[in-house]
Amino acid sequence: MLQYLLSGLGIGCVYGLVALGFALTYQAARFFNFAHGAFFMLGAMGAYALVRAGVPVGLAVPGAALVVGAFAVVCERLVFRRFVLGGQGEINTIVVAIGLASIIRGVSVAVWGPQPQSVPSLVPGDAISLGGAVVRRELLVIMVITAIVAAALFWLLQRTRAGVAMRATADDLPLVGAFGIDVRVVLPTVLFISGLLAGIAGALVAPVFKAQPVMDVPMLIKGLAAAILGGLGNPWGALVGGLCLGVIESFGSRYGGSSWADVITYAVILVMLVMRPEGLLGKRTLEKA
Amino acid sequence: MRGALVLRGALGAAAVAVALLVPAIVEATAANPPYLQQVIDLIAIFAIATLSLTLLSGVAGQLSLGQGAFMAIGAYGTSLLAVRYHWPLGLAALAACALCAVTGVLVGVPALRLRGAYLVMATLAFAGITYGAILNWTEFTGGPQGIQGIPAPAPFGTPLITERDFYYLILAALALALAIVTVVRRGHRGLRMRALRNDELAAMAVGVRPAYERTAAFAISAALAGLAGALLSMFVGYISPDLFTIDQSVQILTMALLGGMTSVLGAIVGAAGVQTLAELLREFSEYQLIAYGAAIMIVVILVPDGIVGGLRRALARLRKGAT
Amino acid sequence: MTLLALEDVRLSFDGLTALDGVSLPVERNELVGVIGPNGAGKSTLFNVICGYYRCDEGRVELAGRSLSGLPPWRIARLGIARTFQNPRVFKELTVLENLMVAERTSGLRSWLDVPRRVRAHAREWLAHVGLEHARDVLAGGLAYGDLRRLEIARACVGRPSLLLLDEPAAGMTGQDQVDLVEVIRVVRERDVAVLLIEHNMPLVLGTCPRVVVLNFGRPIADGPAAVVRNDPHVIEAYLGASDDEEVAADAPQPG
Repeated sequence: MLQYLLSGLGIGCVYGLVALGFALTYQAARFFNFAHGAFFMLGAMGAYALVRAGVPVGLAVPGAALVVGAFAVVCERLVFRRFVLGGQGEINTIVVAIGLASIIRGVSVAVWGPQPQSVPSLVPGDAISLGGAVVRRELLVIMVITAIVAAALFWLLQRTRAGVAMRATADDLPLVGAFGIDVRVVLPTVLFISGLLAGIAGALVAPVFKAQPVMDVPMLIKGLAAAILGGLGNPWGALVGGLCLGVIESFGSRYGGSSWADVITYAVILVMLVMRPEGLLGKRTLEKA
Repeated sequence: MRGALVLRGALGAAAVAVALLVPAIVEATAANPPYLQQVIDLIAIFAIATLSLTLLSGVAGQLSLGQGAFMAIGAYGTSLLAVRYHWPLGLAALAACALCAVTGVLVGVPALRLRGAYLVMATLAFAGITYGAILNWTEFTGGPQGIQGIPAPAPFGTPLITERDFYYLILAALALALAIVTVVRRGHRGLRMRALRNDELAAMAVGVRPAYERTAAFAISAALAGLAGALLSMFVGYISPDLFTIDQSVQILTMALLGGMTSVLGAIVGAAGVQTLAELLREFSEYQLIAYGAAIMIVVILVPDGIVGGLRRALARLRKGAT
Repeated sequence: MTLLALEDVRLSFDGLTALDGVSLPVERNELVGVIGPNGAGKSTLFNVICGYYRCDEGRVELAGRSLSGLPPWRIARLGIARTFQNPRVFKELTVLENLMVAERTSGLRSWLDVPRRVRAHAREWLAHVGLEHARDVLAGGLAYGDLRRLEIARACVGRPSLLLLDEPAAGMTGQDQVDLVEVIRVVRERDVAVLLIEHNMPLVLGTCPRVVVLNFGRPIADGPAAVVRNDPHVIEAYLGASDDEEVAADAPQPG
């Protein structure tokens, strides 16, 4: 039992990090970044590439994360900006992100090939035994790093001026501008952090599940599900949602077999959207027609 | 005004004539006629699927990433009934389309309260569930192996064998789909759907009932996608889950966008464009992805109303310049 | 029987009181102007009548039938039409098509084409508001004044018994305003009651036989224009508002 809980939490941390990034961009700019899964995948592939180029794995992980963060900013500047700030319509924004994700995946396959690549572990060694449960070391490391990252992010969002700017909801964007915060700086910053989160998640997961270009869509879905579960306006809800999703999946695979795990995720999305769109932690907003 | 009408009629007649003569043209000019014919057949099938999205999104304003899933239901429905339960193929296809329509309503109803991105996510989830079901429900759907040995349709007694034979059946189905979407779009209901797409609040203020229009759009659209799926299963002879992944829905979206989301003609143009790209890049699947992604981005950024829309605008400007 | 009966309607948002006991009967074919300082609750009142908001307390009835809880499209079908503060037209439809949307049709025929009577009725209203010349123009390309007339015509095609106009004169030139008054007259000829929100005081006081003044979500005056104009409460309500408001209330509002 504990085994499933712990491994569920471990993978849930990964989902949570991804969902956190996704929810941040939504909260700051009402932007559903459908290319977020591609960023995650780039984190994993980036870690693989860096290791292959001779970088020690301990540096490759943060390195890959930084690269993805930077790449996310480039995407923002070249592609997203005109759509998010230019009022191009929500649908067009989503579609362009999907297109971008396709290109990213295509290029990844062209460069690295479609097959899964293994990445050496940060903490080589046998699985650790904890109170009867056998847990892979990597998952424990993931949990620790997630906690650190979450704490750092919390400090950033709550205590710094930049953080406050990012916490302002999209509706208040003009208001934020009135306080002297340049809206056009907020967006790249948010995207950098969002990309960083996705990249870390990808790089951390690579040693556990191998890195391959087709990781992007499944992780996008999981990130989406977790963010919806936690309530889209709420990044911390997304983190919690990710943890819940990981645990649900873990126990689901115990009872139903791993092949149905994906279906569970999709079902979660559907049920939440229809029944409780504000998520588990969200508040009902007054829907002004 | 009269002149424009006559021109339109003439173009239409010409199009019909060309469509009927395609196999002959292919036979006469292509280096590898069966291959080219096959590509054309697939274009026609996917044009039907794209038309389903044109109706749902271009007319009724509901962006959906679930068309691939409806194709799957149409394909699997037809195949299972025909192979397992030995139904006549035509009846199986009909039943599968009916099932799709019902599913479309079942999906459309909870989706009624969802707008924009949320709707896209919900349809994405639906597509994922459908794919997961056909992949994992092995006893029923054959799992990853899929279903083999789907009989060929025999509309006039003898079964269709060559790509050329199939062409006329698929063409007939395409004509039906074109007729349905064109008529609905021009009719009063279609007008109300389009109003809903433009401005939901204003539409409600004149008595348009979003639930009714949207559910109807979902049902018809699902049936059309199901028809495409049924034809695909008959044409290829076997089906498997990897024909109906989310990537398939994205591909259909690409086709609709490329041709022009609101344009019936655009559906055909878009399908032709994407399928051609797919064939040209057949050896390099990763470049296919890049091409699709690039196509989507170029269209959305530069020509939001697609090839047909862009051409129409250019024509209008030419006409204005001439007068 | 009173056409529209509003009794003691109350609505609050998160503690902020928007409507504080509004009672407002409207008779058949009546023309009533609703004025009041910004934030007095005028648009909110419209939204409650049309079903976009549900009031916390009070009755809203059309010809004796309760409208409370009904969705906007249902209320529209029952005979209440409206225009919006910023004209909302179907941009990708032609002017004529905009009007045809407002008719009700049913049955298989409605799927196949647009019935002749629908087209004819729509063209009738196009003529009434003077937009015949723009019949096949895409609504998105119309001039601002024309948008407003299109909206009103579209609202009337559905044969409503009550028409709610939300600041129709906003952003209009003098000539447009004259045209607007004429359109309202044409509408009323067809036995439609009109409830009009406006900031343009001279327009309202000049054209509406009956004027209601709202302030802080409740009516502070309700009677003939001449009486209301001199009502001390009304004057105080407007003087109590900023100087800019008072000046603005007398001048045509830019869009």
